[in-house]
Amino acid sequence: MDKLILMIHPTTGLIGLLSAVWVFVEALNASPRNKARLYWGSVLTAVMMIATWIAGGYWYVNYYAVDKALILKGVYPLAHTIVMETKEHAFFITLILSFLLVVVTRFEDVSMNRGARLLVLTASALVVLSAFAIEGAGALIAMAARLSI
Amino acid sequence: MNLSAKSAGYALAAIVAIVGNTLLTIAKESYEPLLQAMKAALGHHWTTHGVVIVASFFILGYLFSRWPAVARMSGTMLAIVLVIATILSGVGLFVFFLAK
Repeated sequence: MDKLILMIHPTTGLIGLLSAVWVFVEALNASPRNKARLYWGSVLTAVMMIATWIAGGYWYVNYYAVDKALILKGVYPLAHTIVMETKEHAFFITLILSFLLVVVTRFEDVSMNRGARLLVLTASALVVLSAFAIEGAGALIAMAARLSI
Repeated sequence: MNLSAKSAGYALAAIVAIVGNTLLTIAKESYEPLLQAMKAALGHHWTTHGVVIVASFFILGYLFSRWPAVARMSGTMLAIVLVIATILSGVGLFVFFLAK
């Protein structure tokens, strides 16, 4: 059961990342015709990031202690002391940016307002880049735990 | 063209919450009583941390969007500050744990 819970958060995180790519592309081609797609892409990004927060948080709070002990005794303790510590706190940046996307795409006409379009492009690009970094950090932590067994 | 008060207010709140996230991390990791208080509040410091940061985004967004000065903020300016805040906050977290 813990392995299933462990797999949920990188999956929802990846769907959120792909949704943010979708939002970025819609904003690049913003017009009155894709306003709804831009908004619903942003909602999907935020919903997936909330799911990642809940699933990842549940696993981190209830199951991570075992892996943490293994990693700290293993060959790559930095996977916890630097990578995991940074990852668990940097995630909130991605989460907040995904919420911002929903607000801006809800209240602005991105096709008419250049500043709003730049804000959506920037926030979605930052969601993509930070989520990529977090997914990569997760892979490093998993590898460090496996090598410590 | 400026943003609506809602978008500008929440963009400003996002910038404050992102920077606040890094500052709260440094504060709780450097000051044991704060870490213990956050553990006691919701059972785990990370849970409390997340609730505080998300709540601060929504509360500040609500308050900032009622602040007349936000109507003078352009999306371009907020986008630039958002990028700077995100990069500095992310790098700040990494450097803090690297040096710890």
